[in-house]
Amino acid sequence: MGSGPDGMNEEELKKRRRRSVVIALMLVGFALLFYAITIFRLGGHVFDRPL
Amino acid sequence: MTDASLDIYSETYASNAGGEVGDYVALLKPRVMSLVVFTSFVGLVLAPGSIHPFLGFVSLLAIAVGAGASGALNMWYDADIDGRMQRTAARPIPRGRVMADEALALGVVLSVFSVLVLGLATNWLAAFLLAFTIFFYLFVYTMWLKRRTPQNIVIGGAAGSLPPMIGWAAVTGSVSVESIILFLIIFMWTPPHFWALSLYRCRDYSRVGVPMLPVVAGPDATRAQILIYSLLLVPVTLLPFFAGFAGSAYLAVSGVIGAVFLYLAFDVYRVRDGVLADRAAKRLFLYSIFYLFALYLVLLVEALLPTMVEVLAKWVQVLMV
Repeated sequence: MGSGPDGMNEEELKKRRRRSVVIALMLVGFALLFYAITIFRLGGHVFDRPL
Repeated sequence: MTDASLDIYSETYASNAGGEVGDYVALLKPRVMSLVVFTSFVGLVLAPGSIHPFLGFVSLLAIAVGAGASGALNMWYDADIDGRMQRTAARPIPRGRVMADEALALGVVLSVFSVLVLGLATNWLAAFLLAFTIFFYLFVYTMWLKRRTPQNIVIGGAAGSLPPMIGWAAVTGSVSVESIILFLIIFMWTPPHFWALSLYRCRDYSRVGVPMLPVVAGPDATRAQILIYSLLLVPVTLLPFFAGFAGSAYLAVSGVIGAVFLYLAFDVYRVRDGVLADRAAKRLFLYSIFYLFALYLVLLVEALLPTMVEVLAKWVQVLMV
């Protein structure tokens, strides 16, 4: 058992941090992906609406 | 695995505080994923019609992630036997790098996300096929058949055969004879491929009680089955030509490499004892990977060649002006 938060040692805390960063990046990537899919699916129809 | 190493395993496992990012990537079986991406890409390219390149890329990403998710779910369920087999002992869960529950969570989350993304990016038939692939691999193959019947990989092989059909459906929104032929090629290829592996990994499977054909019926019966399935496989690989979606180059290549496959399968059938028998099985196993890759590669090149020539001709025209 380490002496850090949640009983983790230095190395385990570093690993957790790296995992958290990857999860955060994946969530941002997922949001961007949904946005891009929406735009590409709409295609030219995005302009085809009453103004 | 010895008792001592099992002790180390449980000690590591107990003190586990989560693995490296690479361990979670390993749960997704990247090598299997690469073959899935390749075959689904071929399905996507061969399909009549067109898809926006970005949406095509997203489709492949979703199929790859879906395949990875089923790999993680398979490792979650099989963690108990993986640690006792030489071939799988180094996987993240048996090594104590990742906890089984984490693999389950990762697999479920990625399954849902991949199916959702594929449905939104293309159509819901493709998404359904991907969901069915994951369902089939986990529930039908891993949980039901794998530990019960020597026919496990024959029926379970359907899961690995679906990716080109998903790629095809992503473009067309339908299932057709052509995509069924692409499915059949992988479906018929799977038994000789895995039985060749299980011939020289027989002790591994027998130790953990997985009823692979050599364990249940013996090596000689397995050799006969490999030969029978190989004889059925080669004519199936010629079907793309006769169904009209592959050219004569494909017919020639598939004929030649199919003949080599048959020769190696016959060699496995003929050589039954000692190191030479193991070598023959290993050779067929490695060749089978090349064989499937080459078949799909020729289909891909043939489909892309006219476009490539057209683009090249335009460049030449521009340069001449």
